[in-house]
Amino acid sequence: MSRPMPQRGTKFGPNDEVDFAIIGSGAAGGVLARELSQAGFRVLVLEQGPYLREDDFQHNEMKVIFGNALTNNWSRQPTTFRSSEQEKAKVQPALLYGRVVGGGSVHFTANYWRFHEIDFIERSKRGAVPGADLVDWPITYADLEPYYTKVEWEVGVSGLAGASPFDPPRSKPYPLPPLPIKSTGAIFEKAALKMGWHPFPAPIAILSQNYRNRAGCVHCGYCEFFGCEMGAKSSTLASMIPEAERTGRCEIRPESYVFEIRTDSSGRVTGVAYFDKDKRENFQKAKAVIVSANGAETPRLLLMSKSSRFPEGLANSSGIVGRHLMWNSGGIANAIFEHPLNEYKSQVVTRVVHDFYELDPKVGFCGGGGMDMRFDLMPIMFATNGLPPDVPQWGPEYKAYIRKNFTRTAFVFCHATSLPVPTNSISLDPDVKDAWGLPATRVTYRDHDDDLKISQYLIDRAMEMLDQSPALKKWSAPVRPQQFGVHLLGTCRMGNDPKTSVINSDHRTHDVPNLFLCDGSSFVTSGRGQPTMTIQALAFRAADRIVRLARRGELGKMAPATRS
Amino acid sequence: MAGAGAAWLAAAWPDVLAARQHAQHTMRAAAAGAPAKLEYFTAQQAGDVEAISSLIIPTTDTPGAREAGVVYFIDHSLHTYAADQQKQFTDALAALDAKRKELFPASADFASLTSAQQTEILRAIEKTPAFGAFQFATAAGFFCNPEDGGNRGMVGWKLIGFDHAATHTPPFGYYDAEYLKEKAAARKGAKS
Repeated sequence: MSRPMPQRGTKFGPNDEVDFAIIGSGAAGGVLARELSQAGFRVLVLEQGPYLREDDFQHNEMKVIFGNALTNNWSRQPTTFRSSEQEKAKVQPALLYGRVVGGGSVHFTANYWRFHEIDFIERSKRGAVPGADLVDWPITYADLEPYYTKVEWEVGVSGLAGASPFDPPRSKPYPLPPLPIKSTGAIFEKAALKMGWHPFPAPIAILSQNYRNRAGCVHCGYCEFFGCEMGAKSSTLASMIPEAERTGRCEIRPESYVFEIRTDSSGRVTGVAYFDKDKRENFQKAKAVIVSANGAETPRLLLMSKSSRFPEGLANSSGIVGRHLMWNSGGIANAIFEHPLNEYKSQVVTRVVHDFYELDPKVGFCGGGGMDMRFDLMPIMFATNGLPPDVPQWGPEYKAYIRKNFTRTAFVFCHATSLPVPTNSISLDPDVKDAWGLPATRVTYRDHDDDLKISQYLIDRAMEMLDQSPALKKWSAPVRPQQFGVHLLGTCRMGNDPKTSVINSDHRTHDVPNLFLCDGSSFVTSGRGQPTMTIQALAFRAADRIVRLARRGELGKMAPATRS
Repeated sequence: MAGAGAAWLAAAWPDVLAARQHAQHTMRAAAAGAPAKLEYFTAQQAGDVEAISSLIIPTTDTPGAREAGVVYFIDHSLHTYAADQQKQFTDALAALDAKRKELFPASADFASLTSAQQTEILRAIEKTPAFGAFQFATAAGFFCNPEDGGNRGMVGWKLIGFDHAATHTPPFGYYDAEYLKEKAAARKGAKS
């Protein structure tokens, strides 16, 4: 799908020492590239995946979803999984991430909930939780609020300020009105109101109208799992990266798979080693490195960057790089309706409920969540994985079921917390290698019991809500421990103490002065199930902090410093 | 591929996603159009595959797998981008054939059995990985973008009411249309 395109940004030579090498071009990397290049720095972004343009995005379920056109492919990059440290991990798909310029923001659903105050201070408010390293963030909601607003306005988020009584304070309304309601939204809103809940229009990082030279959504329906050929979905590919390239100081270098961050005898980063698209090894010099490779690839790269000075991996004096992996928990309640919903049209979610964001501690577990209603299966997915357990899997009844219910099925999606469990982790598999000969990502994961409890709690509420809806049939499956993650959080957590955290609140690693980490790995808690908005707010804030350090000369002689 | 295409996997939502992604082990993407001639299967294999796919999505008052050209989609896929899955698929066919010989030792091939006999064989293997491979390949050939060689005449999409138009406008479905009508009526009521 990739094809040569005229270079939009600049192009650095192998011996150019760039100011910043950013590893990863996704939700965080794209923001940092734009902010740092606009601030005058010379920025190189190294991305594992190809550079696809809007014309490359196809309305083809087989190619895009089953062909992993936008995501990691386990046949070339196998992952292994185990549920405890005592087991030997088995090869199986264990995580999914965006592997394309724009990262996961290209294929995501674009739910853009802010975190609430509680997410930053849950430990102080709730106390310790056995089996989890629950701690407060070193920053608060108030510290991030200006950056949440910045995300909404710079990236483009549609929503309705003040519509949820549970929303934290905000300094500005959304720049764009909510997207049009769909049948799931209408059903959910009415039933939720009957329950006494407070449904509100979903905040979505998709343009409901034209905005800043980008076109509004045309409701084509190829949305979650797909790239947007209109540029209406506010991926960093559509929003941030063109602006970074326009500075003339930013190069996006696709199909560049970084496998080592190198350091000198003083312990400072000198640059990064990577494989190009022909699997040739290259080295790129950089004055500072920012890793925004996602909550799995960021710790993996640090663990692969071992040296005599950093025998346990780079920036890992604490020994916690890769630990506290959080996927978000959750579950689904399913329903069928009499009339067509036609949920295959438009973007995915139109109404959300946050009544369960913070629960009375009397429920007996720690955590909270949110809920939406949607139907996000394409036809092949539906025919192979979307049927209730009591329907035949082939024959006339199978055909009749699919025929009738593709347009009439809906899911209540429950999204919830994961507690930071130290043994849930990303590590290097000792045996399995990827197609480049690098150690495979090994996932160790077992949901905390409280995560399973909050998931079941929300499914039970969703089933009660469906009783207030015109659903003809509803069903759910019991909650089981997860073996697959798409939200990759918490593995290089932020904190003030170098013994218990990997980065400080400037996103600077405690151990290496010119190495920064910013992505889902920075999270201290998981939030209630929609992390990308907070990843981007952190990235805008990190950019401010890093620019300040660079202008103070703490990162060596950089481009804007030489000019002044 | 342990029958992931067949199993109902309604657990925590990331598991559902995993299951969806699992299905790529049965059939991978990136094809050009498939011609109406065989490139990979022998005539007998093609006959068996067409018979199986027609049992999974039969021709009824509406077109089924046969009319959608599912066998040509599978044949072309295995000949081209899904060549690495040939063994998996021929293993599935071998499992089917073994069951045929066990249940109907005098028969020559699956396609020449009566529909009741074919049904009996498929029922005997419906919990096995072989069935998962057949179901996924059939559904893929029936509901894929026609540019990939199946879903001829968009018979799969027409069957389920999937409108492949490049753009849509609200209201999208019955309940949002009702909702908008009610809101408009309430506004009118408030004004009068």
